[in-house]
Amino acid sequence: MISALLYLKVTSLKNALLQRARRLRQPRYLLGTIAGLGYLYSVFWRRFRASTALPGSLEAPSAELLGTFATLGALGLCVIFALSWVLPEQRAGLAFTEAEIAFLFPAPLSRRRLVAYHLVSGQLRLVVLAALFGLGSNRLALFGGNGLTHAVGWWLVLTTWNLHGIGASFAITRLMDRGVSSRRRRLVAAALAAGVVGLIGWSFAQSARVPTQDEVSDLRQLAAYASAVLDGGPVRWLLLPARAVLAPLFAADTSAFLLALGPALLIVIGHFVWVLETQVSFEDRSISRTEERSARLAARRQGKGLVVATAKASPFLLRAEGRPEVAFLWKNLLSTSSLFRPRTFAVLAGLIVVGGQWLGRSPELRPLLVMVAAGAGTVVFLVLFLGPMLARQDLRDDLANADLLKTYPLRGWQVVLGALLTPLAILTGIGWLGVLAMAMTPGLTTRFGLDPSSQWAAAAGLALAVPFVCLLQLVVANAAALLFPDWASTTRNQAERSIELMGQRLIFTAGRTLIIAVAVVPALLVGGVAVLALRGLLGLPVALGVGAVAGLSLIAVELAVAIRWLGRLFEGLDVSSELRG
Amino acid sequence: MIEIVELVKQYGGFTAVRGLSLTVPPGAVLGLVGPNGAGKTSTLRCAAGIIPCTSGTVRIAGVDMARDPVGAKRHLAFFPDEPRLFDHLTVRQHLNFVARIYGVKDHEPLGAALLAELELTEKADALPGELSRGMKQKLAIACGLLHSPKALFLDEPLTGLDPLGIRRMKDSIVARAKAGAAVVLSSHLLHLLEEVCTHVLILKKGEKLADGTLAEVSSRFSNGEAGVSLEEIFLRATADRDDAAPAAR
Repeated sequence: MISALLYLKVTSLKNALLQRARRLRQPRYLLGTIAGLGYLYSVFWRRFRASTALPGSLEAPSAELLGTFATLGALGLCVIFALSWVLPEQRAGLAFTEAEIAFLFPAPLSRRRLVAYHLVSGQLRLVVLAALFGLGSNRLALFGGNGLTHAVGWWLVLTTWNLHGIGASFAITRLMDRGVSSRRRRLVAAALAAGVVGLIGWSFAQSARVPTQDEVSDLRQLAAYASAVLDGGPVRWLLLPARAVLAPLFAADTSAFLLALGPALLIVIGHFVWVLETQVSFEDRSISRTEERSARLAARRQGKGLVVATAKASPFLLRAEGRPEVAFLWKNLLSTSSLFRPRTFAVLAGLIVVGGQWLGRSPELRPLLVMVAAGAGTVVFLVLFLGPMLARQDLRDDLANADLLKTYPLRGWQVVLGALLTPLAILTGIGWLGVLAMAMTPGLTTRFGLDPSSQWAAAAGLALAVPFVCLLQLVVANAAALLFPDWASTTRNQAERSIELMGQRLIFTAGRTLIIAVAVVPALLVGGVAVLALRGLLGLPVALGVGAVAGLSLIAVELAVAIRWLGRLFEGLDVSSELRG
Repeated sequence: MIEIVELVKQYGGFTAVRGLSLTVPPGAVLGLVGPNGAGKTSTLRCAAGIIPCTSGTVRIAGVDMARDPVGAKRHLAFFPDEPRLFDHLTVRQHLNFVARIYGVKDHEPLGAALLAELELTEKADALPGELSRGMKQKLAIACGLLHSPKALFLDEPLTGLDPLGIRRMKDSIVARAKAGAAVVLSSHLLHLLEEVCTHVLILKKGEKLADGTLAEVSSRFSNGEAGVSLEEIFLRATADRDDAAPAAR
């Protein structure tokens, strides 16, 4: 039976690796891998190398400092252990995949074997995590020892943490089976915690020394003081098991590591036996936990969070006659928060106008108005440059329904335009509120060396630009989804984490930025030339307005052409996903 | 009327449908049968304008799908095997949305009648997440029928329905055909086809093996035996010996 389970894990791992290797034949994965590896190299490896090369920047920690780290780490680990006894509210449940539940739960396997299988299965993740942590802590020269001792040390910590969490959940389930309520258990845990805190207080009192001013002002000295307090009296014994688990990680050299390894391994083995020998039923909760996880993963694969849909009142009355694009706006608004409604925006605009005037009348409240304006400016900036990536109630979210949308008697551009309307309306509404708040701040433009009279003209120009700039970015993002549906679907897949996927996202972002820049530059040139040419003739406010209209007209033409083109792309989109990619 | 002439559908180097032609007159129900991978879903998707044909012609109610896709789609409804619904729209809001898309005037009494026929009236304000699989299927059907289509394409329409739902669905298909709609349905449930279909078309590896009325196709593969079931006909028609030389009619 063990050989069968081992076969399952080894074969699955081998096939997963082979599948990853095979898909490198596809350019998008190969390019993604190259970009991802390049990014990792530049962000982590190169910096780590550079940091260790810097003389004196990160010297090896002293034995005293290591001791302090170990004591504080042990205290942290004890808190984590304590929380694993307090926080759980439900019965114990182990994380299995749906296939594992379907095959292994009805199989003639003992409970112990199932638990052992689960524990061994989880080891791959812990080993990888420990290796990464070890790489990081070694490069940052946080502890003594070397990369290997760090990795093993992290593995011991993570494994003990994992096993203790499972063991505690099993023990809690046993208590539940015996009729001990969660409230009673927590009361007992709280009493124990109070006892421990009291013990620490007593240790502090025994040390009979308050920290000096130097110790309080210097973090390192304060940590050493805390360590000295915790190292004395009964607290020392209380922290002993956690210190033993952490000792290999904080070992200064190989011999210290080897000496510390034995006790730490004993604690891990003790935990393993404890978990294996605790007889509780975990199957029901495991199944429900797996179902929850599958639903979460399915939602993330579609690029959605696990949002529970609720029935909402229609955002506006949708008549049967009229432009069909409006039906998409109506439909997609229903999928958003009820706050994104015209009435909400109207109320907020009214509040901004009234509040702005009230703040503007009191000179002592002017600083507050400037703060509001700064906040509003941040909102406008985020709407313009981050909003289109976050507001995805367009084809990016609806591409999964493309086969349904394609049966509608509509031209492709109508579907595309309809899909774009909701994020555009939401972002424009928020952006305009921000612009309004900025416009209500007296003398804001004078800070930028502009005439006060041009403030409302600048605000009008910015307000005019908001929908165009947002729509431009939305069009580019939707074009990417239509041109490269496979790329879009994989980059949308939040459930998968891999280097190639990270690289694909980087390439996508870079491409999007480049295209937007290319589209905006001509408009900026046209608008800028118009302002410079007309400033002397018509005055700055009018010149700004004319410049904005000229530049945005060019963007409007680009957008009209792009939406028509996207429509043709949508009409030609082959939705036979089963044969794609 | 549904007319398909020399339809070819390729995915890269793989040909899913090879020169398929068929005609379904108003009032007729054509059953599309074939083993897995025969090209049934590809045929239905091409005919409904969901995916582009590689070559060939599709006409719905006389309107060429390639020349006037919007005009052709006004006359058809497609029902996928898995009902596709919008998570955040209630049953009533789905009908409201579809009415605007198809420009269905006075859709409220029509929608109410459909909901009553499909026993969804009590669920009018429920979201898809609150509906059973069968109810979702019924909602998809209500959305598809709201604009009174002249051509219906149904891909495995009975999946997930309870016995009563199956009975109602069969009755509904027959009723729409009697009202003048041309219907194409694909299903592995051969007894459904025997009960509902006036015509049958057997596909294998994208090629038509046989088509005609049930009696015509039966006589072709019955070898003179009487009372041969459609299941037996299907097995004989799609047996491996036909691989080398599919019998084109």
